[in-house]
Amino acid sequence: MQSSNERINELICRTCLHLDQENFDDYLKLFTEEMNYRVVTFSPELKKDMVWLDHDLSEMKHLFKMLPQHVKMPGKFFRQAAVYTIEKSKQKWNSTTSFLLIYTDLDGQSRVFAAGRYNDEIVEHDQKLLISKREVHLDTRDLAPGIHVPI
Amino acid sequence: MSRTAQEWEERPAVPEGHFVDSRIYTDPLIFNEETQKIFNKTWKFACHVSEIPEIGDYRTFDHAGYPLIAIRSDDGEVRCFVNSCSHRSSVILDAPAGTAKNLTCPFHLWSYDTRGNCVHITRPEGYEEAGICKANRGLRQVRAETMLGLVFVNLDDSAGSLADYIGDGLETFSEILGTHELEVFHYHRVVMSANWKQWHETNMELYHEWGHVVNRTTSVAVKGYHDRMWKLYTNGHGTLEPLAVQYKNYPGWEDRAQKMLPGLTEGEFRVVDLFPNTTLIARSTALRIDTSTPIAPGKTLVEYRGLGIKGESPEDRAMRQKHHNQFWGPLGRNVSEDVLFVEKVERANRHRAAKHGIIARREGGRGQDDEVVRSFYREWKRQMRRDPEDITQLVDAPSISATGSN
Ligand SMILES: [Fe+2]
Repeated sequence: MQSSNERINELICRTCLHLDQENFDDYLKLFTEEMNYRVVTFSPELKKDMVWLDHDLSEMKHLFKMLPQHVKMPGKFFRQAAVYTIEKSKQKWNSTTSFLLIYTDLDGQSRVFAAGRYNDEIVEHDQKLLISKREVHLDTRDLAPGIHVPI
Repeated sequence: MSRTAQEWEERPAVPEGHFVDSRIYTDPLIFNEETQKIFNKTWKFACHVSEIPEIGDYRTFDHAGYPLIAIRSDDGEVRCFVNSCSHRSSVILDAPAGTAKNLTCPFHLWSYDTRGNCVHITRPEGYEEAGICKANRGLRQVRAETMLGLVFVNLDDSAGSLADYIGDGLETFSEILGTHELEVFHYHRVVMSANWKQWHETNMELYHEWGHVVNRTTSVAVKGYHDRMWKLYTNGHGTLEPLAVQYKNYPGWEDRAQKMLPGLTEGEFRVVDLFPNTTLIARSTALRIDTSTPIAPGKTLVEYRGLGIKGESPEDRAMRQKHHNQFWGPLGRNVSEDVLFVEKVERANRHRAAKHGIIARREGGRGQDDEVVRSFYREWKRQMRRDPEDITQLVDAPSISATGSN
């Protein structure tokens, strides 16, 4: 029997695996119906926090549906994640995961595309652990051309 | 039919001004000449006044290879200085933004006030014999002028005023920029493998909107899209008549029918391209300003700002932010595609596989007509005194051209 921490670790790793493999349907199954996904970063130029993406489930579904029609960076993205902390409060867990997003171009060259942390809120639903909130906190602010998929 | 090497290199059989030599994007001598003849002499957008609201607030940035500081001085004026100590030249401020009472060089602790006066020399008695003193070692001031909240700088002390340079160029944005106090809520930058002019071209030629699915669905497909007239101003600026963009045509997106920025109607799109490299785009509820900084012939920094109304409710701001991000955020559906487009062009230009860029669309000065791009290159030719069709040809400066030849 896995501990809740092991299950949370596995859940977070699965979000990375599904995104890496562009299994977007399976990715979204790891979130609750009321999910919220945000990408945030701090601007030292403005001395302010910025929100670069703020989506609910329906917006995430539209985003994935329209992807094939967009001109995207060619090549592959790969996420290297390490869960640093998991804290339980009432019926929720909050976790902090450090990640690197690695981009491999069509010629096979890899480089770090982005660095940051996933701050997740996790709940149990029908004996399954699901992410109810993911805040991607980016350290990297120059995302090269830009990215069409969640980080 | 495919073409031989000779045919590929021949001058395209189009009227004058309807193509460019690809070396304008790649030649290091042209790049240096642009720095001297264009960027050292024209007004350059630096920041929005809201980025330096209080006395001592500053922003640092590079322009024409110079590190610069824009600062709110103690008399409330916005001033600009070269970010270099007048002692041993060290850059004084590293942070992109901050607040300072005095600007103190970390190297030998010389210090300057917010008006650029030298106010401290460490152990000044050591300079008495050589005649160095605070009175003769102020910072180098750079001209800074503000229009509608936009701060511009000019390295040329003898240049004409900003107002003369812009002329009527911002008329379609005066209500948007000038009604309420605005503030920048979004800033991001991209260093792209492309020439700075390529970026400005994407902001001028709307023909490439076919390449973006969001633009195809929400704009190109909309009635009236091809009927809008471009208006060209002196000094290479240009604007386009507005369009009511149908945002709901893109799956999952909503109308932009509420909380429009001042002067804008539902879905309204406006753009103004300011020579040489600043563009303002309004999309009903959202306003973007972008400006580039050339780094090398094939390397350009582009900065993107998003603005909202200062003091608006968190709900209104969240909506504006969402609308900004949909098109223009780093995870948005439009701007990242533009970067990919210009990088693809640069790859073919880099070693002159491509010889010419065609800017020959003529649609009566409407919509996807390239006349605004041709107007840009007429201004480039005037300032550079060089023919963009063949960079080896020096030309006498043509007179200032305002309206197009359509
Ligand atoms: Fe574009």
